[in-house]
Amino acid sequence: MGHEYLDLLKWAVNEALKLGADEAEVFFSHMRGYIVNIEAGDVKNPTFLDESGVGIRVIKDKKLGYASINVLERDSILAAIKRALAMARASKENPKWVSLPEAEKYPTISGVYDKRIEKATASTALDVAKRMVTSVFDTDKRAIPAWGGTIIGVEESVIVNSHGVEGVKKGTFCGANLGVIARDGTVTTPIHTEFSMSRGLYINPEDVGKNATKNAIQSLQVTKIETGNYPVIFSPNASFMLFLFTLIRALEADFVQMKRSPYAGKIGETVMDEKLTIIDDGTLPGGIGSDPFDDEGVPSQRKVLVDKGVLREFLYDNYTARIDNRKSTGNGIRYSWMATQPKYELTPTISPTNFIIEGGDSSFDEMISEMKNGVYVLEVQGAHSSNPETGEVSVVATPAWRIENGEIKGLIPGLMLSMNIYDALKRIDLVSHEQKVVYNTILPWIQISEIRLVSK
Amino acid sequence: MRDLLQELIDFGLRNNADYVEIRVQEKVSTRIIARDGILERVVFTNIRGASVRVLSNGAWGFATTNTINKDILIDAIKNAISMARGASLITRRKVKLAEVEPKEDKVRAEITLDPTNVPSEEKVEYVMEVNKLLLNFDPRIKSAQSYYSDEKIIQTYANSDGAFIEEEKIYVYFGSDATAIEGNIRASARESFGSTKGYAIINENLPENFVKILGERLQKQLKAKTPKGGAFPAIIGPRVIGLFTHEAFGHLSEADLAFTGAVTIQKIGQKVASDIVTIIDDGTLPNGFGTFKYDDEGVPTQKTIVVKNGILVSFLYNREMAAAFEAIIKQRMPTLLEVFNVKPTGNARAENYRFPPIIRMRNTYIAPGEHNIDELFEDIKFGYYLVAPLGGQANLDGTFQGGIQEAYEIVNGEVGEPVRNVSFSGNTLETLMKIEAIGKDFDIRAGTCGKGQSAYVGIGGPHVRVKELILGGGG
Repeated sequence: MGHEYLDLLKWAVNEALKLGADEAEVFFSHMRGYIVNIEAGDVKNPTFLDESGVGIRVIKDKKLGYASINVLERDSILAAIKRALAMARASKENPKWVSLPEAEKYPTISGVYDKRIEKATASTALDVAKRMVTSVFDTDKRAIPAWGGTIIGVEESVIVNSHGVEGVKKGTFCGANLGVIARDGTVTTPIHTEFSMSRGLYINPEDVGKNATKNAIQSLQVTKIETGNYPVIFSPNASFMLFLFTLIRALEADFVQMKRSPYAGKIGETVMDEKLTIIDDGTLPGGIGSDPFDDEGVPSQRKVLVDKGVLREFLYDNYTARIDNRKSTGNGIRYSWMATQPKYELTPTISPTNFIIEGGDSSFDEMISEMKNGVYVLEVQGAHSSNPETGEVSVVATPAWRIENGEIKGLIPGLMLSMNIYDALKRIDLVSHEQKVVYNTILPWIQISEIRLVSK
Repeated sequence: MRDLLQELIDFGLRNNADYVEIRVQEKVSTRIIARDGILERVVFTNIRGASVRVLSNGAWGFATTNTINKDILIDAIKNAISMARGASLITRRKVKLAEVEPKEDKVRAEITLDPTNVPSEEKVEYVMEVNKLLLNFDPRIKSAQSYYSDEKIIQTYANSDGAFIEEEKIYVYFGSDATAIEGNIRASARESFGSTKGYAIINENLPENFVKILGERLQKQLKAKTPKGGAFPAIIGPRVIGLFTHEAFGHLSEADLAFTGAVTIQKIGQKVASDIVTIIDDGTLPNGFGTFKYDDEGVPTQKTIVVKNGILVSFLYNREMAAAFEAIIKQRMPTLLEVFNVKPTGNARAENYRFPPIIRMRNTYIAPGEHNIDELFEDIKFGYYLVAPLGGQANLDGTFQGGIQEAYEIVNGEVGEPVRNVSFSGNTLETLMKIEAIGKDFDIRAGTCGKGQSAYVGIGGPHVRVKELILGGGG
């Protein structure tokens, strides 16, 4: 559909201008799809979701107002425009405001739409969930698929603003995730999470179930470690949680402009180990976060944020970019954690598209086999209480395995890990060439030296 | 509306559904954000939508839409039934629902001032005043964000057992975070409050008082030292014990997670905490952020005692899990039914119409004890006093982690110097066993809990003394 909404949105922008707005933007989003949950070893709650609405942003005398509504009749939209203008009147002048984005050409992104998903039914999602659950029981009877699920859906957005921005984008997505615990006698392992996500029907539910199960079974073997400093290998899952609340935030321009980021004023300086190169690429073919344009109509692009340890660029939305008298990097995203809110209800904030740490020259097997005495952290718990300003991180590393002379010795229960993540990123031992897609990030396995571990 | 919902329910029952429930919602909300003295966003939202949930052949099906008309809702019911029948072919366990008396009621929010009647200008003034006062509190405070939100939700609920409930819920929430810098030391802190009592909560929290708490917390952090790592006696204040009770224990008492294999499944009717510990999940607490009258299955909320004098006496249930546990316990350990509750507790909650209800906490706390706060500190030679949390997380195996933003040393029974970057962790049940004294005091705060969906909850309790707590930090 999409295009049928272009006219409605153009009309709405015009109405806003007629009612006195200096600038106006109207954003439409529609999500349709199926979700199936996995709970306590069973397939649960097959869900059909169909949700659409519009979000309006108006500016009057540098005062901004927003309103959203999900009744798409013209009367209701008009009422929402009036609400947005009332919000602008209630607001205060924002002296930093320059303007909404200007019209630009959008790139064509491949691999973000799969017709098979558009045609999929509930049975497709039920089948994926069932296959994940079955593969757990087939792999080991001591394993329980504790929670997880699958989602397949189509999302379409349309944007129009009063500077000539007009865009329609449509994408599909498919994801499966699973948390597995293992029980044997009185031993219960922590949850082991695996997932697979794609913009097409290219996920492998059997591998998700099997890999999570194998890890959980490995964790039935329990060992200890003395409190001290050790080399630690972080899995992409663990790094994702740690980076989400620290490194990624530190690279977002609003955090930099508030002078909260440790990287503020350090463009061109070496801020981390030269083994690290970080890229944000909204144009990556088939990328989870790929789109022709962001959620305020700015073309997506690829930019190197950190080049061999040297800080090159931050992530900008339109607002922060104009403050720095430059162009947005196409990172104005209407983002909610795990996409639990529809886009039209959200306002654009800075968020990565596909956040990529480039692979290095080691391999995961090599990291394990060459480790004398250290730890492999599969997941961390409590990362959201990290401090993105100072980099102070204190988490429970669980599951975490002790590695001795290249061999996995078992799970270390309740292992606490504390570090300053920005300092730790200067002490990278090894980076694997293998990378894994974790939500909208693509991350390698990373080994860092001298990490403080506190054991019971 | 009632006729339409009845017609839809009848349609479902005629077409292979064994149970049908419908929720229709309308939400109006305002969100305001200020950063570093600039008002960045004033956002108004008005959304509505509906969902239908059906049980067919022992499996659930759920469909949601924001188009509320008869044809679309009939399609949603057909869709839900077809998905339920598809699911019933592959699920291992047939869903049964515990019996509850169907209720008919119309509930208005008990509030002193409806936030939707307060002009946006007034809300903006409050946000900006706090934000500016924070930035002026101390020259070392370099950055401050302040955020306000209110929500008014009206839900109409009907099910095929005959329940028909209209309930209004109103939430008001305000918070700020700020950063202070002195030389190489950076401190950051946050503070918030929220209530279901209406806009009155804003008028009760004078900007200068709110700013003082946050500002002084930052000042203390700037001069704070890093803690020693290891096991120490600790006094845990209401807000931190609230976080612990919710994250570390509360989730393990949710029947779906217990059923999945949380450590509590092996502790039914057994000792899980020291004798002085009683843990309550209370949906009736006046003005609590997790307070409501009916859950999203139409079951009346209640004050549920989960742990009584150290013994696990109930899980938190929805109708499905109550029936499942009743069947299991009857079959395997019927004598436990005398000490362990298996009746629905009214804990089925959905974030909004887009989600099926799942088991969630309400206002969760350890019941106050008999000591004055001073008595708790008395014979501690050296330990830590944990005052304000950052966040926490627990695992089904019973390990937990919590971050702390305000903490002090305890030296010879007195509160000593501030410490920063403290975190605590351990095994939940071992820690509950080590609680050796509980204060008479009580404080509870607004929080948001995530479990695939978000839910408003109350987090709090009294001061609690723990013989030994594992503390990390220091980096």
